[in-house]
Amino acid sequence: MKIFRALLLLIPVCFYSAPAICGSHSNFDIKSLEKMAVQSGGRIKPFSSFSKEVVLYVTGKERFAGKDANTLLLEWIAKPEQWEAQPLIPVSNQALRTFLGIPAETKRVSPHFLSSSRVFLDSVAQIDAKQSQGEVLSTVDKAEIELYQKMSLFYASCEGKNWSVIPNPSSPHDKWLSIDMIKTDQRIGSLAVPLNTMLESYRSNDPVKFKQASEEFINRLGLQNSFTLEIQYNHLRPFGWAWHLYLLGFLIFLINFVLKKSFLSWIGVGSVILGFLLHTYGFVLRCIISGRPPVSNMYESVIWVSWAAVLFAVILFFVYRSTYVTLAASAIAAVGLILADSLPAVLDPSISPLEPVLRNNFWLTIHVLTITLSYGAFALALAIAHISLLMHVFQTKNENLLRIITEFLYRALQIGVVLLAAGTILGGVWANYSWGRFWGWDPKETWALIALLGYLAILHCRYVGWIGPFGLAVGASVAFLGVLMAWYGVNFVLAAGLHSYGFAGGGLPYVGAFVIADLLLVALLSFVYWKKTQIKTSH
Amino acid sequence: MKPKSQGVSPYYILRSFLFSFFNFFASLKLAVFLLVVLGVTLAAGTFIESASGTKAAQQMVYHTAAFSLLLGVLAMNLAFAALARLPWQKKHVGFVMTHAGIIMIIFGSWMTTRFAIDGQLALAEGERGNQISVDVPLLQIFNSQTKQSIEVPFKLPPRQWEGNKPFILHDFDDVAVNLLAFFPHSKPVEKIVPKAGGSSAVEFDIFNENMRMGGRLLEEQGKDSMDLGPAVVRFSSQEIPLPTKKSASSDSLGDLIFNYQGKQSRVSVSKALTKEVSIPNTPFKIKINRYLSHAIVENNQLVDRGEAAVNPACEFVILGKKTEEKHTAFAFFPDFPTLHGRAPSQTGLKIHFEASGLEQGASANELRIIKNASGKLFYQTKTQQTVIPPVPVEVGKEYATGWMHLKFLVKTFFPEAELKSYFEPLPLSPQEKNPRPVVLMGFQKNGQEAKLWLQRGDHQFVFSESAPLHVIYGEKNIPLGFDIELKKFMIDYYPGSERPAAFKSAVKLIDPSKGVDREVEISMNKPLSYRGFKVFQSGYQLSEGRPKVSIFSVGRDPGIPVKYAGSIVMILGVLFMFYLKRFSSSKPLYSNESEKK
Repeated sequence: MKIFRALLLLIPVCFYSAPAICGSHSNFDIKSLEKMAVQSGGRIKPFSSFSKEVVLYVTGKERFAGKDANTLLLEWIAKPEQWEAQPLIPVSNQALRTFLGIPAETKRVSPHFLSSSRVFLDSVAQIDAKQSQGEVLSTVDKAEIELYQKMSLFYASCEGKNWSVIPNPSSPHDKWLSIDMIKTDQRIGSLAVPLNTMLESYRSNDPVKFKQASEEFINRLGLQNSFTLEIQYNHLRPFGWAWHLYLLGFLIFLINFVLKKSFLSWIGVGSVILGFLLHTYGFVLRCIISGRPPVSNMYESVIWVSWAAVLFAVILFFVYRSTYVTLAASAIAAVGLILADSLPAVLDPSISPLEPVLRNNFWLTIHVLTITLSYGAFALALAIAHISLLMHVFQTKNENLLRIITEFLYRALQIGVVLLAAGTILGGVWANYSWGRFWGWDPKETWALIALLGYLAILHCRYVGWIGPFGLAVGASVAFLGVLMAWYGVNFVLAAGLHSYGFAGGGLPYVGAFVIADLLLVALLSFVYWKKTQIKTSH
Repeated sequence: MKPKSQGVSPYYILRSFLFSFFNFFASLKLAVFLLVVLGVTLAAGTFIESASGTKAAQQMVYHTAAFSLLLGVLAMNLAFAALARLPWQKKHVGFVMTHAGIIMIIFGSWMTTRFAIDGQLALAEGERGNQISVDVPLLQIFNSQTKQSIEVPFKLPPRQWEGNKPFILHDFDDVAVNLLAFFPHSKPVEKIVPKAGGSSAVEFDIFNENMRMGGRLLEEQGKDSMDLGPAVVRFSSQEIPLPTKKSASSDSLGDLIFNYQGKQSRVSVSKALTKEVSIPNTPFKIKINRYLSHAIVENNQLVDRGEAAVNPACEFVILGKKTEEKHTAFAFFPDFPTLHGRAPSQTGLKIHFEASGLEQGASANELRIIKNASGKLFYQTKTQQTVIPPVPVEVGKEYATGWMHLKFLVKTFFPEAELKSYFEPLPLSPQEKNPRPVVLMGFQKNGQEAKLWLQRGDHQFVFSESAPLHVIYGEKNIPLGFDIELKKFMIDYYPGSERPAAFKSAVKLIDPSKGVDREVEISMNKPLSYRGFKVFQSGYQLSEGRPKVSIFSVGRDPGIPVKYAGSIVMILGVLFMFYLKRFSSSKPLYSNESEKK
């Protein structure tokens, strides 16, 4: 008993880390620069969003060498020859590392290393030729092309080729001009002086002159936007704060297992609700910035599913007044948001425009939100199921508690089943409306159906009594694999079918390890439980 | 046991059999078993799709009889489980509704597979269409003489297949057709193989520090040169003519060169002008109607502009026993089909116009590999105005061309050879952008044999010397009963990027039978509904210098209302079951196993 409690206390401590501190280390005032409007990726965004995306793509991180993205971009363009030699670009593909002759202990290579490697450039040209002939590329080929693109993006940033900050003089709706064009385009030649002054003052470490020059430069660009919300979103990092609050709530609930103080449980609930409010606020901000419900990529859906899990938990909390659901929800939401916050290379946090077929806010909202709400309910069920498993093993005598937890589990499964069934059908209706067929055995549809069938099988087994409360908990844990497959697997593992707008790669080893570890845990608990009941019946 | 069964009537046995049959199909055990089997089957289907593509998954899982049977048994199970609880009480409302809803959805999908039409309609701007192509392969043979057509009755397998599937087509003078191979994904292969009596050929590499490319040339019209952009490589028995000034008084206009059954013959243009002349080595005659020194198209008419030989062309008629074909040949565009329209010539002639007074090839740089009369190889290069005299070539040795640091090396020389074109199967991959499905067919007629590789969407002739058969490998077409004309295709991009934000088509809907003639706009998420069909914007094709092509998917699905109704009934049923349970059931939700038993 005591060992169990001690163990539970230990686990989250391992994950805990102090909140990241925002702000620049240099004494340069780049406030006006980070608000500068950039046209990139099909939308006008503040420089701070643009720089984050560029730095993330090149280095795989949002900050690098202790510098924030805005400063990095400024450094690259001001002192390219210094940064060219820095190991910026990560190379993880082993075959590619061997091919390029990268020593085992170096994780990153410098852009200069790549741009001066004859072997690398030749091989990229060959892959490019292969690609233009319509050949299917191997994984190493794709990794190499990506490496080349990272290098190219770095050099483009050094030359300002991707700094599309000058509204097109003929029409601001057309492609904007980048700052490297100042040299050649007569119409914008007058920008050369403030730009050069800005960069020169940065190089010569003159913050006062830099501030003047950067303001002068941005004023000359005209057509600026304040981007209040997006800057606020970038600075506040609401999801980052939300997971800290969820984690805090989770820890308080765990401590309260031992102390059993009602004021502590209220602090825990308060912390989760505060986290939920921040989570919601971040969500609303993102909605307003992008002008659509944010559920178009994996990052957004992870955030939304975590939110949904907490939402259902808060509702169930107000109905049943039990902190077990909030405990479960805080665990799930904290894990989800930590993943979203710390794996930007896999879960891309940038806001990008929608594919044409998704440009229908009504259906996007109804179908995708319903489906992902059901994922949230199932994720909550997964967490409750784990609590139930642990309780069954370690708290066998407290039958009343087991009943309540089973009821919560059942409720979460019910919410999930209704929403998944409805969401899948709504997807069919939308598909019929925009592709002209209701159901086409597309992998995404099919896996949503498989997940639903899995939960239905469990509910039916429970209905006839083939499985008891413990079996229901085991089932809810295992059936989540169906959801994981529909949610993550179809996009990241199968990568087939029509729902291709969410396709991406990465993270498979981690997801696989998590799935295996969880299945082992469930198996272990089942074994212990089985042994216990055996002893009980034999007495 | 014995005395008991003697007293049992056959009626009782039947009754008890029906009961146990009913009970089995109404059982929850079967339900759970079916749910698991269905789940596993579907999971397998998605993995097949990921590995081999959507088509393979459909043909191997979703569109099989076994899969329909599985769904049928599931529907039966659902129905019997509901019937087993007759007479229904208030507490059964949700349960019965849910089951009825799912049965309706399964019935609706059966209606879809049975009656629905799903096709594609691709229209270029200004084009009009009234039939859609559905994704059902169609092999059709058309007899050009009797104007009969017949469909080869076959079903293409989901995977690469090689074998021999014979069909005898009695309506076609007993032509025997064999399906010999089918590759869902393939790539075309060209190879030079030795063949007695064939033309000479070379295989060579041309390369510099940055690139290397292989080439193969035959001494046959259309196969004897390769354009590398800045230069042309040519294989010929003639040396490069020394640059001479064009003589204005030249009375010779050039020659028409005919390739027929491997033999080449020439007819002088000035001799055949407005006169019937027979073509040597062929059963055909030729009459040249017009020689144009500077041919251009004006108001859909080919007209001659001026004296200088800017774009020499010939208009002529080929006269056979039964045929009369009008051709136009352009000296500068040897690859342009000479016959009007797309159909290949039924004469089997390959025609090339070699206008005189022009520098042959008309390109500034040329590498010419020459096979002289005694079968020895030489090469010559030409750069702008200078031509180097022939240099002997050794196979396997490198020679400099003189431009762009390019070198070349003749890998193989075939004194007598032919070019073999065939297809090789590719592994099924969903990433394949150009799958290129292809069939190999064999034909036998009156002791004659022919083999034919045919790509999907292509058509070719066999037995073109005697009674030609026109073979088409395409898709089944279904008439719409009305016309759609694409007026304009429009595409919007996200600002400053090449990411399309939205695309739409302005079309004209024309139905003379109903007197309908109106303009409609079709876009993503905004289809056109007309006479049971729905026309969806599904894609587009943009290529440089061609009109924009808009692709619509057009469909009709009578199962949709049934599925929608079923969905609503099912969802209401689930809600009833889950959330109104406390009004109908006194059982606690979290009952223990022991309590239940």
